[in-house]
Formats: sequence, C-alpha cells, structure tokens
Amino acid sequence: MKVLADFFKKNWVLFLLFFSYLIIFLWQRQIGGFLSQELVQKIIGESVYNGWLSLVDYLSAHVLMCLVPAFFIAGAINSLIGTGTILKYLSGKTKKWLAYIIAAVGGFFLEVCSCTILPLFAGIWKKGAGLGIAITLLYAGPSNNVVTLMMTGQRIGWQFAFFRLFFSISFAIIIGLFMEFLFRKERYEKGDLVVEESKLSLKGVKSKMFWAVLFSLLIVGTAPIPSNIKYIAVASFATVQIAMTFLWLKKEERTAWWNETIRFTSDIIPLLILGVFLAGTFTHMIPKEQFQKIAGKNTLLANFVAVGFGAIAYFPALVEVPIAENFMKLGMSQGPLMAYMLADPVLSLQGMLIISKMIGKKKMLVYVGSVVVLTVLAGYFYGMMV
Amino acid sequence: MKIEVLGPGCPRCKLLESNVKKAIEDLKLKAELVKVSDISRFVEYGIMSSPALVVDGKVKVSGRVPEIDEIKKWLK
Repeated sequence: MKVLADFFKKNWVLFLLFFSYLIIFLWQRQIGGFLSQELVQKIIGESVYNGWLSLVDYLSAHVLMCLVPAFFIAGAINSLIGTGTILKYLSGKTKKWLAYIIAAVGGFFLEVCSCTILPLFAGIWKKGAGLGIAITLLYAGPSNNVVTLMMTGQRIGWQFAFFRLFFSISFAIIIGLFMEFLFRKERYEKGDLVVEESKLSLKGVKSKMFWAVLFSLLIVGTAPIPSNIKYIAVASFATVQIAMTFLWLKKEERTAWWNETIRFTSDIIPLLILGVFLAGTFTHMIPKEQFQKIAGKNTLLANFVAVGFGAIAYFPALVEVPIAENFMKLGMSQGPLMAYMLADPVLSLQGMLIISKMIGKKKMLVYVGSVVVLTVLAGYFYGMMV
Repeated sequence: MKIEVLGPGCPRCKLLESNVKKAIEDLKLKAELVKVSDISRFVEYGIMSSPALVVDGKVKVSGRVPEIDEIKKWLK
C-alpha cells in the first residue's frame, strides 16, 4: 500500500490527465444520454459552458501528440544534458559573441520559469559574463522553449510561432548589447560560479541517434500529416526511443529523466487546464464590438495597449497561448497579437519590482523601455506584413 | 554544522528542504537548517541555478534535487 501511495504522490499528474481525458471521452460520446449538451449549457451558464468547450478543444488528441514529446524533451534536456553544459558558456570565460548567441538561444534548451531565471541572471551579471549577456538571457529565457513553440504553432499558426521565435532571439541580443554599451563604465566583480558538469553515459553516435529520434518524435507528432500515417510513425519512433532508453541509459539516468518529465508536467498541466478554462469563460463575457474597436486594427496604439496588457496581467508559463488564442477568436488583429505574445512572458509588474531591486531603477527602466519600444514596433510591422 | 537550503520558493526547493530534513532525522544530527531566499546570497556563493545546498559554507549541489542517500554522504 505504501508503494502505491508513494507512486500516486509522485505521479498524480498522470491520474489528473487520465481522468480529464476519460471525462472528455464520455462527454464527446454523450454517454449517459440523459445529460444533453443543451441541458448542461443551461445549468452552468453560457460563459462557463464556453470555458468547458475550449478545454475539450484544447485537450484534443493532436495537442497531446505534440505536448507529450515536448515534455519528454524538456525533461531529457534538464536531466541528461544538465543546465551546466549551457551555463558554462555564460560564466565569463567564453568569447563575448558566442556567449550572446548561447544566452539568446540557450533559453530554448533551458527550461526556465521566472522563478529560476532570477538567480541565473544575478549570477551571470555579478560574477559571470556581465550585464549585457545577463539581460539577453533574462529576455530570451522565459519566452523561448520547446513547449511554448509547439503550442503556439499548433494553436495559433506556424508562421506566427516562427516569427515570434525570430523576434525574441534577435531582440534578446539587441537589448543585451544596447545595455552593455550604455552601462559599459560600470564594473562588476569577477568571481567563480558553481557549474555542475553533466555526466551523461551516452556518447558519440549513440548520443546523436538518441536525440535525433527524440526530436523526430516531436516533429512527426506535430506535423500536419494524415492521422493513420502519423500514428504508425509515432508508434515506431516511440518503440525505438524506449528500446534505446532501456539499452543505453543507466538506471539512475532513466529515473532522473522520468522525474524531471513528471515534475515539468505537474508544474504546467494543472495551471494550463485552469488557464484554458478561465480564459474561455471570461473572454465569452467580453463584448466583441468594443474589443475590436481597440484591438481589431493594426495601429500603433493597439500594439501599445496589447503590450501594456501583457505587462499588467500575469499568467503562468504557457497560459499566454490560450489567452492569445481567445483574443484571436474575438477578432484581435495579428500585429497586436504578436506584440502581446512577445511582451507577456517577459514583462510583469512583479518581475519588474524584483529586477529593479537587483540592478536599480535606472537600468530596469532602460530595460523595460527598450522591451516596450521593440515589441510595439515588431507587432506593428508584423501586422503590416501579413 | 550549518546547513543552508537556497531557493526562491519553487516546488523543487521545498522538495530539497524536506529531503534534507529527512536526512538529518535519519542520521540524528544536531544541525542548524536555514532557508535562504535572498538572491544576493546566492550570488555570494556563486550559485546560478536553484535549488542549492550549502553545508558549512561549501556548495554541495546546485540546480537539481539530490536523493536522500546522496545528501547523507555530505552530512556525515
């Protein structure tokens, strides 16, 4: 019994997912019969019903097919590569240009939420590669990662997702360089940072195959191909992946990978479920015409309002995607939508307060100012382009 | 012995703290357990990724949650 209880305590998110799918499965097939959809709609009210429908839509099979591999990849990067491999490039001993690129792109491979980014930022600023690179990481870290990219592509559109990625990588470097230049006279203390090196037992060809198959699984699971071909491809890649995992990885590595994947899933899924439901419920209450008056056209003002909303409202990681999707359904123009998606993960009142405490008001205002200007402009030009 | 658990308050930091507590109980140690959430203290130790464990001023782990057995080795 104790083993079972421990298993449940560690892996409760799996049960949560299982029951959510069970309920949705029963719902879609109208099992029970007596609970007609019209009756449910009457009982819970139209807005809550709308929230429920967006949840059903979100937890559909094709979202699962792209999210599950993305979670496993994030878990594998964290447990098998380790943050140390990436962080050692930011400790101040690497060439500056390389450090900038690693900081801007590394966020894609580091699973960072706002809670882990701040110690990273403080360390790199004070003892590592300096202010510019720390700022680059601060900007790029929370907005780029495998899961967000997949989710944005799947729900909002692939062109949109790739432009968002492109914008945030380039802005991260631009803002970093700008701030390094502006505050070049300030010196920071040099020191040693603790970097834990990974000790992965996979090497050479084996390691390449392992990661290639893992990423293929993600691509095949997401690609718009006929579902019968997709299921066969996913099943065969998954079989190969499982075989490699059991043949090549040590037992501790397997456990570490599983634990990281589960931790990542339990951090994100419950908040995502709640976020999707609430976003669906509340956007149903927003009057469409008034919303379109503000955000329906691609103007500089609309882009600015979108960025401002992103800064004031705070949503947990990944919940910005269903929010943006609902805005799109309400008729938000593509430009402000891009501006919102670029600003929301980066700007939050709470984050600004903490950053200002660390680096001082002046630097914080320069940082926030450049983020606002660049995201508003990016949204505006993107909106004109599409 | 002074044991410090560094973390801004994320779930993993709480997990590390409870693992450390269990290790202390198992070994019946007399140790002072301190929780540190001030980020400037992280920088002093050179710690970039949380959670981290510092025993008597020495950084033992940073960026992951070690198992209880691993913690016991450092506390002995």
